[in-house]
Amino acid sequence: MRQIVKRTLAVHVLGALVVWYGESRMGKTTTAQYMVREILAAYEESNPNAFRAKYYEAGEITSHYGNEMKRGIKSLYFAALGTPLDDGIYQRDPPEAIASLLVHELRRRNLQIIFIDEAGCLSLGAIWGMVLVRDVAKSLEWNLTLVFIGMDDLPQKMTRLAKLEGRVHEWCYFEEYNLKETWKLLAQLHPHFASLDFNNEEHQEQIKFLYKTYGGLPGQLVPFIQRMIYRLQEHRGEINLTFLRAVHLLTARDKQQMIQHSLANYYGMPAEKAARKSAAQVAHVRHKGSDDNGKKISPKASSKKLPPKR
Amino acid sequence: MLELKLEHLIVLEALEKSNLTHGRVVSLAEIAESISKQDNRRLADAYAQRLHPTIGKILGLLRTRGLVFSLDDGNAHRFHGSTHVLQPSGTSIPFVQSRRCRVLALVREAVLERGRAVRNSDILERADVSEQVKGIPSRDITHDVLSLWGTGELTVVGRVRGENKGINLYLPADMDVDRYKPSQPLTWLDEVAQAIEAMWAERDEEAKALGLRPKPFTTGDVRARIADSPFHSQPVLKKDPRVLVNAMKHLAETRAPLLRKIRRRGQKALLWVPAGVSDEDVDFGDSYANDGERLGVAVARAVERLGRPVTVQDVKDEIERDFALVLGGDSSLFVALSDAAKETYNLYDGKGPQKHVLRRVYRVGRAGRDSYYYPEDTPQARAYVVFRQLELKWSGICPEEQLAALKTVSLPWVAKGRAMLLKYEVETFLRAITTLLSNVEIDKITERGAQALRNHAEDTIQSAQHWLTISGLSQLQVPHDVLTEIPTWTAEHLLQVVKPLYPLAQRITGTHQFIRLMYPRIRRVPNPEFESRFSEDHRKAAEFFYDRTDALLYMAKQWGGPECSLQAVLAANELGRLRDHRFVLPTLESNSFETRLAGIACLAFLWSAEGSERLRRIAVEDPDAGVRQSALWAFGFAGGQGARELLISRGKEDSSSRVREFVREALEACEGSWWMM
Repeated sequence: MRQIVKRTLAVHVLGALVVWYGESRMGKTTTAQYMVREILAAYEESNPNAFRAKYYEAGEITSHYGNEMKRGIKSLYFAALGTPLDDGIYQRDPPEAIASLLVHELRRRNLQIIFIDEAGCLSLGAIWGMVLVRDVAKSLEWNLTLVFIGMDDLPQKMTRLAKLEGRVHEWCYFEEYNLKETWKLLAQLHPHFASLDFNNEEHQEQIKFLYKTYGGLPGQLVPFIQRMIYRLQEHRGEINLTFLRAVHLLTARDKQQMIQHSLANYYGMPAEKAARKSAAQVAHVRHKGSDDNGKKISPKASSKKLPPKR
Repeated sequence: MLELKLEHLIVLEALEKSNLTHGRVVSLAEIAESISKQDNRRLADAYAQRLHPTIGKILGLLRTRGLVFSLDDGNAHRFHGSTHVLQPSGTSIPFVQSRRCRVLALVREAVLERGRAVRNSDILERADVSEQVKGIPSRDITHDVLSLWGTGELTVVGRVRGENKGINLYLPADMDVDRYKPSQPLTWLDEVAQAIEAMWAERDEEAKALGLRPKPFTTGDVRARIADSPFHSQPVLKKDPRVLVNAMKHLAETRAPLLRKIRRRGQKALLWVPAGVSDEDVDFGDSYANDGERLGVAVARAVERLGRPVTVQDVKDEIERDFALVLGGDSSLFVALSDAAKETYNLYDGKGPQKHVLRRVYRVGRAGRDSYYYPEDTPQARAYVVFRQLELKWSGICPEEQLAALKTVSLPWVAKGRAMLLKYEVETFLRAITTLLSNVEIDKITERGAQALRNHAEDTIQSAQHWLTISGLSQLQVPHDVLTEIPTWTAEHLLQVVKPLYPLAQRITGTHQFIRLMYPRIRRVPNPEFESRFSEDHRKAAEFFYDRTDALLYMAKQWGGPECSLQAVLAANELGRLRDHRFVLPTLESNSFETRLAGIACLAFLWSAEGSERLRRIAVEDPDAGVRQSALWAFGFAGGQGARELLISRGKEDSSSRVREFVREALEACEGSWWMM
């Protein structure tokens, strides 16, 4: 995460376009929000190099519907200013004029980095509209970095247009942590894991269990830690592998029962089949996960479709 | 057996066959029918003549041999028989009817069957089942019918329009015309034609009795006349008016048209007269004495139709329904109606204003841009206009919109002010509507409408109060009341402000034109001091003023530079209809720079002395450079005293290079206008 932060800030002087991509629960949003907090915390009016940042989650902008460039700029406008763009200006002015207005306001607010989350939902035209804002800022000698964060087909979208691909200064891929990195993360999250001995087999089993179950995904590990802290209130013994399994299973079991119930009642699946299917869904095999030695496991694709609703 | 030539044998064989078939002597045609095709060809090959003369000749030869005998009926009908089949002495001549006679008999049959004179199609229908004309083709029957008419054996007792089944109605000459002439129309066109003829006859008679000319009729008149048609029922005619229109069009466009249409300028409805009647023989409605009478009738009819006082548009619709009400004078309907509604009139003949002897129209008030007229000056009519005024006022308040907008306002103090203002406006409205409802002289329609409005108002007050309660804004340091006065500009003043911003406005010379252009872009408020449009004091001559803040926001968004339009967008979103700067001042103390920016934008367009003073302080003291920059512009735009001096001082002393850069640009720009920045 820190590396990605540093890499992003490194290209900011160029008034960059940056793409962050990774699967769900990798920590993209957390990283972005962390960056915004840190930047705002470090902001000092007296510091000429200080600037502000903004994070927002973009709504879907579909293709072939309306002026997509303007809609992209309008989305950015609302995110930056917190107020919707006037309809008259939106209808009347061309995209470049609206972009100029937005840059004018961004300069006043000293806003230099904007994180656009769920950028995978944006159409190519909308992204291009946002890039126009950045280009206008650059022409006015204002550093504006746009960080597009997303999943889905965001990287392919960004490379579909050569002129767009050429403008992206940094591509950041959020990978899962390997076993050692997961251990380090857990150690930082809870003192119990900080106290574990890497040479102790039982301790290793604990980490391996969590790694197998949740992969190296911070977005999964952090909630687990929270649940573990909650369960510790009722637990009198020490934290061991059994306890960790129990914490996991207490939630997994509920999840399985919920899925089973919905398969049976909503989709009309036979009870036995629903039970098997729900168990399979909960028996978590990670896509692009790693084995005990940190070696990647090939993804196990699940292509079975749910039966039609009753 | 005598040796006969083959051809003779053929004819003899055919004769004998025919004699046996018919059991009597036969004609040449009957013999020819008995000859087979092959034998026919043999005869044609052998003889150059046609078949019948050939047969005749051969029969002559056979007669001399004694094989055939012939009999004559004295009418040039000759019949033949074979001596081997029939006895010459014991054979009688058959009775033969000509084709024409048979067709005439057929027509008689058709007439008796239908009980009336018949068309050609009726005759042909009868021919399908009649033995009389068996074997006679339809073409020949039609030919014979015409021939019989030509010779007078058939008479034409009438003509029929439409359906392409024949025009003439035939009747054998010896049958009683009065008994068999159809009394009911046979086709839809006939029915329409008969209705029109009857209607015109009545009109003509009435007109003559009064010594007048008959009036033309409309399609509606004809439709009303045709009540029970066997061809198209009233519902069908109502559903598809084209059925009747097409029929009338057809009657006007045939080779022998029955009708002629008249289209008059300014008249929606088409007029019709019989084809032979000229415009000079028709009365187009000069039966009203003057336009005043016409207007009185038009207003009365419109009131009856709509059940309420009427506007100029309603009266215009009424006039278009009846051409007789079209005004004869040169004045427009609006002017004519307005004059008719006045108590006095002035012919500028030195006699001065004179009272109308008979007032048929009264102006009972105005709501919005519409004046309302009524045949009498009644309290109910005036109450209706008051209700309309309140309706317009209610729609102007836009309560649902205002309530919804509260959720989008980011400045909680301003949101509270807006909610308080809405509540105040609706409470004022509620008092007015309650006063109207307490008037015993309102009619039921007005009462129902007013009641519904009152309910809406009460709901809105509850919603606003609820919002104030749950929003948790009671701890905010805001005034307990909200100022409702709105700073305004006259149209003239606004025009002077617009002209430098919008070059095309230079061409506008009059405020009336400007008011029309600006409607409804900028909010207008009633002038409480309004006296009359002709008042010498221009503040009392304007019925409406423009909301100054709304005007500033509109112009800034429309024509302002980037700084100006951005600030306007911010301010418009926050302020809504609130004009009390006291609800904005607390925003300047907020820790959030975004809140302070929004507050500054609002003060820029509210133009208050206290607000300007705070802006000056913010421009110097605020920790955020962007906020200071905004405040500098807002102070100058709001007309703060010493704006230029403040700019100069900030250009030297401000710690931020961005602000100093902004000041440099502003000093260059504000030689022209703060609008363009």
